[in-house]
Amino acid sequence: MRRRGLNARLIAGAAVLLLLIAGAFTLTVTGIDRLHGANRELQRSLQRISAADDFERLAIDLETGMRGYLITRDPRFLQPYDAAVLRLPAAGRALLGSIPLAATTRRQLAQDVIADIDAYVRGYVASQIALTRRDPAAARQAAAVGEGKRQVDHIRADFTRLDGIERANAARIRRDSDDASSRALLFALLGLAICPLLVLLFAGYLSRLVVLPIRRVAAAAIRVASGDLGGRVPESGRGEAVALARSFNTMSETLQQSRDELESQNAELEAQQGELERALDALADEKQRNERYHEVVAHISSEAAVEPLAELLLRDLGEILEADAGTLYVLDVSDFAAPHVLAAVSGFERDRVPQRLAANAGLAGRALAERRIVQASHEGTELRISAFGADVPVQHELHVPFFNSTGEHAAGIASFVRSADRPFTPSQLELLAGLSESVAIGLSRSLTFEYAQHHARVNQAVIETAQDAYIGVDEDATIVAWTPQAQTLFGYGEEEAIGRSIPELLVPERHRAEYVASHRRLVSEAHQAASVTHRFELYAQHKDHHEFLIELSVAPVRVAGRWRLNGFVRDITGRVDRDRERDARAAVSRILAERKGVQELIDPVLQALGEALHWQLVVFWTPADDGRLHCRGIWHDPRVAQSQKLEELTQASGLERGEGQPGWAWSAESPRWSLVRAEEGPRSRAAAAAGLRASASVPIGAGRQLLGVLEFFRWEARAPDEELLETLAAISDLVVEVTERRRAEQEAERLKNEFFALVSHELRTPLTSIVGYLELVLEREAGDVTEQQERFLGIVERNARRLQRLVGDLLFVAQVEAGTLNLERRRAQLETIVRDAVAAALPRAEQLQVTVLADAEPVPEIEGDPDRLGQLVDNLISNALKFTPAGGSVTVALHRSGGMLELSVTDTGIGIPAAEQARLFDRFFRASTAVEREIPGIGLGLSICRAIADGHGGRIEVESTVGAGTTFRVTLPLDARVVPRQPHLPSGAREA
Amino acid sequence: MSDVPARILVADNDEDVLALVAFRLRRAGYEVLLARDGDEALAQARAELPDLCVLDVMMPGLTGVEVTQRLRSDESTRTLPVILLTARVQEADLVRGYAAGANAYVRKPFDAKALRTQVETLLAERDGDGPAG
Repeated sequence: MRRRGLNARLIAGAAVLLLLIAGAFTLTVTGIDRLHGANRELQRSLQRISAADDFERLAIDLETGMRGYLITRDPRFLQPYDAAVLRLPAAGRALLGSIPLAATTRRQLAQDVIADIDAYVRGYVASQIALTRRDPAAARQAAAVGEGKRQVDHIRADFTRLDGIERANAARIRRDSDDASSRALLFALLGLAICPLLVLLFAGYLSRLVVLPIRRVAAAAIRVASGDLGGRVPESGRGEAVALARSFNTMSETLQQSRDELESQNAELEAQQGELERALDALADEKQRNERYHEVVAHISSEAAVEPLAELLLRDLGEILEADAGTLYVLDVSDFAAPHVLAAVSGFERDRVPQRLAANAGLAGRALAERRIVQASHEGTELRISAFGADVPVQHELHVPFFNSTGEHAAGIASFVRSADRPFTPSQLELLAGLSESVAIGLSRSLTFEYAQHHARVNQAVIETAQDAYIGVDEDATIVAWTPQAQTLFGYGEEEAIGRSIPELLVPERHRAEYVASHRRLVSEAHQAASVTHRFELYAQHKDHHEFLIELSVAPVRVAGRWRLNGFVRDITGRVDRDRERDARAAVSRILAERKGVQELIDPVLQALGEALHWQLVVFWTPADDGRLHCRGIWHDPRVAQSQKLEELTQASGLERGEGQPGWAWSAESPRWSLVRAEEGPRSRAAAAAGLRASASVPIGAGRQLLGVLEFFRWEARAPDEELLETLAAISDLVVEVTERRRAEQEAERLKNEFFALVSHELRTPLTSIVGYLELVLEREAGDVTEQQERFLGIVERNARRLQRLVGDLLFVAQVEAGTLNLERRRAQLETIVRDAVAAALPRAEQLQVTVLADAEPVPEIEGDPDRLGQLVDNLISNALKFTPAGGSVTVALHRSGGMLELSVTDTGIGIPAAEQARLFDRFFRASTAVEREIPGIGLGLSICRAIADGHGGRIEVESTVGAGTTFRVTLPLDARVVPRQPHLPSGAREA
Repeated sequence: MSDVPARILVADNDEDVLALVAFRLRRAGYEVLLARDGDEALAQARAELPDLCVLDVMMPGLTGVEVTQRLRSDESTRTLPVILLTARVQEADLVRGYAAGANAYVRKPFDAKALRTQVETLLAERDGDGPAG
């Protein structure tokens, strides 16, 4: 609940006072007004009385006039009558108007009177007058009746009554008026007396409520202002006064507290001031250290060379540390075992300090290893150093490694000693620690700088002495450096080359776009990634316009924000030409080996020569019966676009001896090389139009053996290369030689085949007789044969049969060699073949006391030659028997393994040395184990086996251990197709 | 086999082989005519009209294959059975022989049994298929 404020109280008081004064005033005014009203009423009442009197007078006048006339008949009496009649209505209206409408009784009375008078005038008086005029007698008689008198009396009585009422009314009004005036006077007097009293009362109230509290507060405020903060005011009174007092009290209390606090703070401040002064002193020290720091840093940046910088640093740091002596070693990676070398000495004798600091040695080594400052004190020890020309004891030593934040090795390490027993202070160490990275950076920079200078000198020396020409090029391929070697190579002097663009000056026009693209790519790659050396081979153009092949090694180097390309150039024409010539020889040899017919050699050889030797167009001319050279073959590089014209001209007509370059080479029987000159003829013009700029012609063979002339064209305007011509001549010789040899070989082949035919016939015929007649004798056709004769003849027969087999084998091998082995294509059941072969071998095995086992599972048929497959199995089994000593065994196995048939013949024989196994299937090869034991054979059986296995798309392999046995394993594909052999010999040569 | 022994013409330029073959065939009960080269063989065959010919392939003058060709082109000897006897074993030779009209092939050195079997087979075929005689 809020207490009502002073404001409300004052307003309420003032309002009550005003109401009282206004009430008294209103009462007075009302009394006066009522007095006025009574007066006006009285006036009107008197008027009405007068109006009634006036009207009564008129009525009397009327009566009197009429009576006088009646009696006298004198018309004078009619004058008042007439005047009364005339005034009567107005007088009536005046009377009626003076009576208030509310006074109904009186109005009724007045109206009755007026109506009676009117009726009297009009009805009686007027008729009496008129009667008088006409008959005065009758009139007097009539008047005698008294009628008029009675009417007048009646009116008079009414009048009297009206008058009476009116007079009573007037009296009452007068009384009221008197009362009112008395009351008004009373109220006025009362108001006059009460109002000042009320005003005084209100003023008193106001003073108690407002002025008094303010005064008290003001007094207290004066006390507070004078410093007496204990002053308080009573919190009595009402509204804002109380609030004021309370606020004041709160304020003075707060002030008192604040003053207490301030006093305690003051004490603290005084205490802090002391500390501040000390801190300022420390700051001054710090500033001095900073200055020292910046001084050292400034020294670091001022000196670039390592040695002076080291001296400077050692001096500065020594001063900071107040050291008596010190050393500074800097990084020198030439010796990783001791990567720091002495750079500066102070206080020590230089030659008594180690020149290199061994890694991990002593306290310095520890500082390096742990990457931190290491210090040590040696109070009371015998440690002494040689300094100042004498040995002095070392009391304190300090080792500071200087590490870059990134470096693996310290850029340097400084060591300081003090001979006095005065330890290094923390502040000195702190400054040193703060400086160590700057020192490291400074040292690294100087070391790098020196290293770079050294390398620059080395590089310069290398460039000046190198065999390669050096060309420096900027980002847009402008030459900025040019060595004498470059001048030798390209013909341009330094002043001609510098500032020129490489492609314009040195690159043949047709390669310029390519070169510019490579250069741009190189620059952009250098921008993107680390620089890498690139190597190019390209044609360059000499000042005299001849072209030659160079190898260009380019290494981009960043110089002052731009890439500079360092190019090393070497003339590799010779090297490349030799490589190409070797390639050409190889390619031609390969073609000669692969192609048998002379005609089918031409195109591949032309292409091989063109591609390998980088000639873009090659023509082969041969002399014909008409005594002219004619084109027999032509090849052009697919990149040569417009060579049709030249090719047409070449093929259209022949060349006479001495006509054109090929004709000249033909007649002179020597090679010729020249630049293409368009004016020399239509072919030269066409060649030039195709962009071909040099040509060479080389005769192949000589004299009657001249096979033809090779004509070459190339893009490059290369100077004649004798070596290349020689190579071409050599290749030509090779072609001639191979062609000759090919002819000889064909002849030899024919002779060989004839020989085999002879052998097969001429050996078999006598064999036929030998075997035939032996059989006859053994069959007793020629009579009895003794037992001994029969045994001997059996030996003869066995050897004849062997001879017969041998002849068969030789013939078979010959067929394989000649590629004329023809295998039949039939269904071959290998299981049956194996069983038959085993069965056939059994008698011999029994003889040799060797067990033969067959392990053949049923397998699908394959397509092949059953006779040859039988021969294969027979050979393997008879081989196994031959090499297996008595008591051993031979196992023949046949299995299916996936899509293959696997046939193996395993023996427990003497075995084949591993080194010989690879050659085992070669014709006429015999294993050493067989030769040693003098086991007969000529080494054809296994080569025949291999030929048969190959012919069926299969394979034969051997596994063997000397002394343990051998396994031959033949794998044949189930879907084997007899591999048809294309005979290489011309059909005529096969006749046997 | 009929009571009249069949007559067989044998031609070979090698006397020994000729004698051997002749001996074997006579032993088997045949009458044997001999020729020492191709021309003689052709003349004999035309003149004698043997029941069967055994011809060596490699002979001076006409070869066995050529003799066979000629026999086949002659009406009288068109169906005369011919066995070629040869040391040559290459397929091409076989093909050439059969193409010329030979009925069988026997390789040198020959197996007496094989030769006899071939002869008997061909004669039996001729007796069965050909006109009676």
